[in-house]
Amino acid sequence: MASPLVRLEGVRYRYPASRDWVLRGVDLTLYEGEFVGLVGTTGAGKSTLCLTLNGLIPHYTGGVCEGRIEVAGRSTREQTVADLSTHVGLVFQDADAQLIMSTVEEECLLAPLSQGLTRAQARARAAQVLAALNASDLAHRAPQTLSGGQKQRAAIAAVLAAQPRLLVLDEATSELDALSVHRLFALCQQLNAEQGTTILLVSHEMELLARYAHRLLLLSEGRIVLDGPPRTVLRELEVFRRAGVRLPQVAEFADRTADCLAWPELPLSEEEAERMLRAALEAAG
Amino acid sequence: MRPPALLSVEGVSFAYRRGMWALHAVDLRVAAGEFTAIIGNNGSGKSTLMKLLVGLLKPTVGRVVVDGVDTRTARVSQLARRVGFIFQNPNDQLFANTVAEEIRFGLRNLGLPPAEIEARLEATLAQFGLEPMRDVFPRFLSRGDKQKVCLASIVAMQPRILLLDEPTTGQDHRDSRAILELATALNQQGITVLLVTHDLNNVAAYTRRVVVLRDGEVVRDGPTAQVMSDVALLDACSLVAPQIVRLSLSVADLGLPLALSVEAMEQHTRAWLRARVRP
Repeated sequence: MASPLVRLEGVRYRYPASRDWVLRGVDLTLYEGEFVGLVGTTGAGKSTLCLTLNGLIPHYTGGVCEGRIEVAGRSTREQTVADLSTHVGLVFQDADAQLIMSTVEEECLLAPLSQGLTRAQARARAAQVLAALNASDLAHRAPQTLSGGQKQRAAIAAVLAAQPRLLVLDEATSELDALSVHRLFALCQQLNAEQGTTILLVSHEMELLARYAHRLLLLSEGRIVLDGPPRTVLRELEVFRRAGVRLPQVAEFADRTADCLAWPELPLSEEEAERMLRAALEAAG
Repeated sequence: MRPPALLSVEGVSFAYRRGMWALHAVDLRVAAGEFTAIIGNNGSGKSTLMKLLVGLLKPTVGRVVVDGVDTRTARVSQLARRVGFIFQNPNDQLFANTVAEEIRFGLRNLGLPPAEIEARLEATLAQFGLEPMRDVFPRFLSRGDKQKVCLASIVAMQPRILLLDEPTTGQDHRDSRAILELATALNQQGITVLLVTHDLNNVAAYTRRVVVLRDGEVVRDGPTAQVMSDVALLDACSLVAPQIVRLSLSVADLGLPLALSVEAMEQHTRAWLRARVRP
């Protein structure tokens, strides 16, 4: 069994000057090497949950934070945000909030240099992550001159350059075009498989989460209401509907035709759906 | 015979800097009543085209005519009566202290008499179900409700054309569906809707015509079903057809017609079974 990298116990949080709890009792353990998808509607608490993982909550936000949050075996209260950054890399939804240097390459050098690498080593790492994101041509561009999608790739590269054990992407795909989104999911899978990076991916891309994630979490009104492998979790259609989250299209199709077609299990990709649908139509016809 | 164009883009090229063409030789005619998508990847020229359509940019070459008005010589207020533009981020659009003031603002700018402004305000609040929120500070609303207020404030001005710029980016499913169903209802009432997006699930489900941009040029303009089923074209434009369309195409050899939505795929499958399975 893999060792726990993150453990949240009974975590409740509310922002300063707010009476409403955004997180209302979250229990969650993320294990080393997992690829986890997190879904939920706007306002469910997804971004807030992400901020607890790298220590920005409670160190920088203020507010009231109850319960226990551990990263790499120690409470985040006992670690600085700088310490936590070697374990947890967080890519924000809003790339502008993350980009501060004069060029994209400088942005990518920041973390490796602060980790003690030489400039040559840091540049090699920056070049590697930019190439992996198909963003080498952006290296010498100023972040403020980039389009929304390019900014997101730059922000992701800068976080990847730190080689964090846990990579958290908080709706980092919202400005990307479809092919770039597919590439990003494939890159996460590659980092997960080849380097053992634990991935927590917050996204509305249900089709891609069903295909890539090993584990899916559904957050609703500050609580994790579903947690398990996608094929199991996505069977809970009513819970998803109540939470306002759509299913992957092939899963929804299988559910809507369950009365007339014999689906052996819930399809998670169009390839699986095609195979199962052909078999079911042949059996019926 | 072609219907007259409500909006026409005639041989338009646009360069932000000399020699750097963001759009090149674009021709596009949109007739009244259409619900058309403009799709393309990042950098394809979608946003530039959108800004040309509302007169925020003027063509470097060619002309854009909106409901009979050439944007090169039109005043902003002339165009605002004709084209309503919904920003991607509602926070860029909302600034008034109450929902009602937000809606009144555009109406005052049109120079309407006070009685007309109040009548249109009440009708719009009712149409969008916003009466309970009329005195609320718009920034305190949920993102979905903010977008509804943006749409309401534009629709109150009774534009003939509605331009939606990536209205579902960063939105969850519930809010995305709500905004597109509102746009569909407005389209059914006669407003021409142009949807600029890279979310092809919504393009397939809601629009009837698709214009595909790549590197500043129109590379395809046709019925939604044709464009969505052209996998090679979409690949070449860094776009990906919706999952249900890809499934539908993969089993087309069985005699199942193309489906653009889960609902359509379900209907086709049931019809297929009825035709082939004896009771």
